[in-house]
Amino acid sequence: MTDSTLRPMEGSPAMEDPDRLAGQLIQRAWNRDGLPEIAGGLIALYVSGIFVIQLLFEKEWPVLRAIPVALVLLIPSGYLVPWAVKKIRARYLIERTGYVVMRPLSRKKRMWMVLISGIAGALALVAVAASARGYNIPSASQWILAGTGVLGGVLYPVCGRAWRFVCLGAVFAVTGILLGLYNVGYATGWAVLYGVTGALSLISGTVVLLHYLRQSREAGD
Amino acid sequence: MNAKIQRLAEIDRLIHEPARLMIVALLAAVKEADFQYLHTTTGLTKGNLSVHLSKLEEAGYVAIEKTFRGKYPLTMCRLTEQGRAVLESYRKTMRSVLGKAGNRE
Repeated sequence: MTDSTLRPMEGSPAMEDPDRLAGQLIQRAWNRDGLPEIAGGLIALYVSGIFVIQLLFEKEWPVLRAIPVALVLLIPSGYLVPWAVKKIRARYLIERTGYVVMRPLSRKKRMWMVLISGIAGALALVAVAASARGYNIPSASQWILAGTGVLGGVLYPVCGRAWRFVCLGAVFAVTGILLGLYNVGYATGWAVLYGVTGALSLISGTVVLLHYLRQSREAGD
Repeated sequence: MNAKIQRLAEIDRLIHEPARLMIVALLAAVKEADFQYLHTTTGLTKGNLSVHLSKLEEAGYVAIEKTFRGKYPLTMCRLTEQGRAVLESYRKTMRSVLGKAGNRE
């Protein structure tokens, strides 16, 4: 396999900074087998499905209900996905990936995670409450869709540290911006945004996983 | 500046070697890891990794324990307190000496 998107991003080895070096190596190792992408892709497709249902049954299930349901799924998944990936790895891939026990997150990092989750949840609830009371912020859906796209576009390569994540991030950002420009509304926008990136993550993760299994089998032979 | 540069001569050469620094840095970032994880993460060959781990174990920087997880044999490696202290000292020295070296401003 010579696909450059499967290769880790080349960077300076930063030998003078062991913390940075270790962080990069661990992050690359985390995404090496494609499992986190598959898990992320499935969650994105699930969220997309919620908005598709909302579009299909608009009268019975208004968007104001779909957003909290999606949030209830998205925020805990940030905690559940790493746990599930670790469990699957330890159960099925331990001979290939090896076994590692991470250090528990520092109190500072845990506080940041809780704070960011809290802010995201609170902002969404404020938006929902504002919409319920009839406040209409001009072009809010356009800005939120484009903003979500740009944020995801930045987060993908930062979290992934491989070229394929740069590609996924670019697709996420461009899709978000285009959806914002075309003013498609929340439900359609999020259905398309999460649907496209979820499907791409799933495909990319599956290709990487198959490649990884074949490669490690050949190495074992 | 002279005194700072001269501190480089006192640096621990055992962990200054890139492959060993990679191993020690990785072990400092995790609680413990097995041989296979270190092998796949560092990209070192098994022989090379084994030699470097032996050297680090001899120096007392790394503790190695052979164990099992189910039926799967694990060679668990973790950084000792001494290893952690040496890495911290290495980090401080390198930062103090090379912190602004190569800065074009």
